[in-house]
Amino acid sequence: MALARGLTLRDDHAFEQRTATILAILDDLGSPSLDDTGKADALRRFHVEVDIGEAPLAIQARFRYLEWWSRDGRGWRLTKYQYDYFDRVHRSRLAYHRHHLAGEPDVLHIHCEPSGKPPSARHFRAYEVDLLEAHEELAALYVSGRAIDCAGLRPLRVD
Amino acid sequence: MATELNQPFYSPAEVARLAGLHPSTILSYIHAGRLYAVKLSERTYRIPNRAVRKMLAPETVSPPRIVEQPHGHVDPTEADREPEWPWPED
Repeated sequence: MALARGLTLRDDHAFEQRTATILAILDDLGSPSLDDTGKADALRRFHVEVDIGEAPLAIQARFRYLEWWSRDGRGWRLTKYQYDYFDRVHRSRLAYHRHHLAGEPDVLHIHCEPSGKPPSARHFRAYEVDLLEAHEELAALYVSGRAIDCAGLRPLRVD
Repeated sequence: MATELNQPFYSPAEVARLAGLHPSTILSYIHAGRLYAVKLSERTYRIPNRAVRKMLAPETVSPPRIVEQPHGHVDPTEADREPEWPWPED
């Protein structure tokens, strides 16, 4: 299984700059909400999400991005992440994840759940992505109006 | 103006019409980073509703919600659990 190096940020200022960039980008899609827990501790949880569709539009999609960071000297090291795109219109989901899986640590994988199917435990091989890289792809998918397509993804042998 | 903004996204030509500008001006805004757009192909851009609202009706745009808990509890095992579908009522 693919293991990840992990993104590092050299200090708190770099973390704040990255946060500001992420919020600015998401703010152009919807009204983001950010929950940042543990910045004064050794373990930090960064949760930002944005629903697409404000009144009078119904909510059509959600971009939900979670990260878990460990203190690394004066900075931070990204240990796990979940970058999820929920397409409510097509009732489907595409996600990039890095977390423990089937007893293995820090496994990179993709969740691809096309329209009409219930959430599945199937995992696909993935490469490491940064939040903004994942968001660029997922936002383009949403704007294109295309349904999620798992063609070309290779199953990860954990299921 | 705010009542006209009822599409999930717009083309540069549509934004130009709403703003009373030439489409080339909207494209220059996009290229300069003044207006957010998703590039679908070499010549195709789509501007999200919110980005258009920020430009034409900023008073209708709510700011981000930010909650910071410097010493809050973080469960390291949460990451290993799959998220729920956000709209169980669907």
